[in-house]
Amino acid sequence: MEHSYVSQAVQFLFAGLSTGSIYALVALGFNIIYNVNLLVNLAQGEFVMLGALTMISVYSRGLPLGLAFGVTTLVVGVVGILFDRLAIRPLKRPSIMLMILLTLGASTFFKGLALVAWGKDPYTAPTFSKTQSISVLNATFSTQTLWVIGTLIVVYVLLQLFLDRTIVGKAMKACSENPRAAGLMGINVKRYIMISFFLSGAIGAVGGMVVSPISFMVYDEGTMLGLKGFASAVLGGVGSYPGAVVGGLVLGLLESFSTGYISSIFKDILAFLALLIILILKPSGLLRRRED
Amino acid sequence: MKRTALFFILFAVGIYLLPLLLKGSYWMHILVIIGIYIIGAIGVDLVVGFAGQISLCQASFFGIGAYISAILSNTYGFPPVLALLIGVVATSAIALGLGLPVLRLRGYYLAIATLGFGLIVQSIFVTLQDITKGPDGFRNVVPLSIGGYVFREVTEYYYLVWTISIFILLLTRNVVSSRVGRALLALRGDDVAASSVGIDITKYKTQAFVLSAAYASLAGSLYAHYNRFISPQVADLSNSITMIIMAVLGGIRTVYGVIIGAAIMKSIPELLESILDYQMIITGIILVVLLLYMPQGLLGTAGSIIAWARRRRAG
Repeated sequence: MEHSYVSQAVQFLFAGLSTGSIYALVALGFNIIYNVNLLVNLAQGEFVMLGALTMISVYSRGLPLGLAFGVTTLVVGVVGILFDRLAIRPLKRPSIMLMILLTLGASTFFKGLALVAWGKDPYTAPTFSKTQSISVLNATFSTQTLWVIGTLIVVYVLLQLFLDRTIVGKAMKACSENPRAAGLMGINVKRYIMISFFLSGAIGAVGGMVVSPISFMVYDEGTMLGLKGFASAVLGGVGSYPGAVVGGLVLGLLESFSTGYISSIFKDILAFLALLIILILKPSGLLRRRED
Repeated sequence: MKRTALFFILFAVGIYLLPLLLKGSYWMHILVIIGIYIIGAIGVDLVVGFAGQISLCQASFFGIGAYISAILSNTYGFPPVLALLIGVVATSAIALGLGLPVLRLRGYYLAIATLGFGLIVQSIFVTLQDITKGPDGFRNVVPLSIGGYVFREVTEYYYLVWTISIFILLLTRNVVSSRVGRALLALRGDDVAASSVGIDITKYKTQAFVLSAAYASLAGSLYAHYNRFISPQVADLSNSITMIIMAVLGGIRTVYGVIIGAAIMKSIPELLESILDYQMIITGIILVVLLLYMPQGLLGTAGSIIAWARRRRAG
């Protein structure tokens, strides 16, 4: 009896960590753009969807997994750049409202594009490892779960190294600290905004690719992921990278345990109720001190 | 100002004469839907446009009104008009309960809070199957009736809905040109400054939010009784976004702009029916292009052009 209790909890833990990792990846991508451009990109979830569907298409044409992964990351990164050039840069007087609507418009466009390209059928990819599932403490879960969690760790570490150790990363940080001053110091702020869109698209795509073997992907699947990623970023404190990871994992675990112990129908209700309460009690997010 | 009034009277007369031309056509149905959505979208203009608060849950209030109407009139046999009124009162109360804590938040924090509320409401409609009939939706909603008179024909709903939306348009016009409207504009511009000159910003924000929710609920009830079928889809985020686009497209803070916005947004799907798969791409492009190059909306841009032409003539 107790044994099954433990195995159940382990099961929920891994399920929560893996969905949470995807939310965290979306939230990281969201913060990268926000930090450089103060833009709230609600099309972030569509990068995830595009990543998953592009990889499945490329992979099914016989490319090796690693290559398919690389090609897709590049393609969606370039989609991010195009998005910046065509829809964001021409915006003359940005306001939060305009940016929210603009990115929602872009999100509709991406969904429409995917609908035409892939139709309404759901797709899934094979697991990355040959062994499909493993057991820990009598709990069985897909090996892909470990890939997802591992990917979050790798992406997070690489991102921090990039921002702290490379000249491009430092310049990007400078742009987010103070774009005007950075511009006066000779940093081409527009170029770094472009790089932030590339990175954000690429990270979204990576999230989509690693999750595609454990969840079906359809043209409109990205929206909910995007919203939950957005919620995670807000939970952790908008703009904070560790906050994105914590926010994503907290939301993922909350969903998985409430689904498991209470009922799957309360999944969204409890997660968003918690979000509402946290917002009301501590609007600056879990990891941020109050600024204003 | 006088010219606007003249245009509005001409518009109202046109609306009442239109059925003579379109009688029996499918467009009558579209026009009823447009009239209903105008009521919901004016609420968005009030909260988002005038008060400057980003609310992403207008469709939730629309849905709450629709479901209260359907449940009370079908399951409990209430007269539809009473069900509609109870819906408006209950929705206003819910909006007050949500607004008091949530409207203290700003920018995207408010956006995400209202978005979260919207998702919760939609899940409740899906979850409480015994009451709401779950994801498949509520069928055969009782048609609207006043006294013993039952509304059956599209034309009857047309006159009813448009009379209500014209009334709501005028009411909102009066609200925004009153003290309340000026207070809303002040807090939209700079809430700290507004509160420092003695404007009770929480009070005005909440009032706008509650009034807007009441409009949405009214629209939702009308929709439920007219369409006679509702599903949790009516409370979807995409429906909230549609209503925001209606307000922005016509021209935010113009009140009358929502007429154009609602007309365009509800006609596009009909006009693009033959290329249904491309509908999303086209809607996305229209939205992006409009926001980039005409952020004031169609009516706002027309206003700017007229003002510019006048300045030129005046030298």
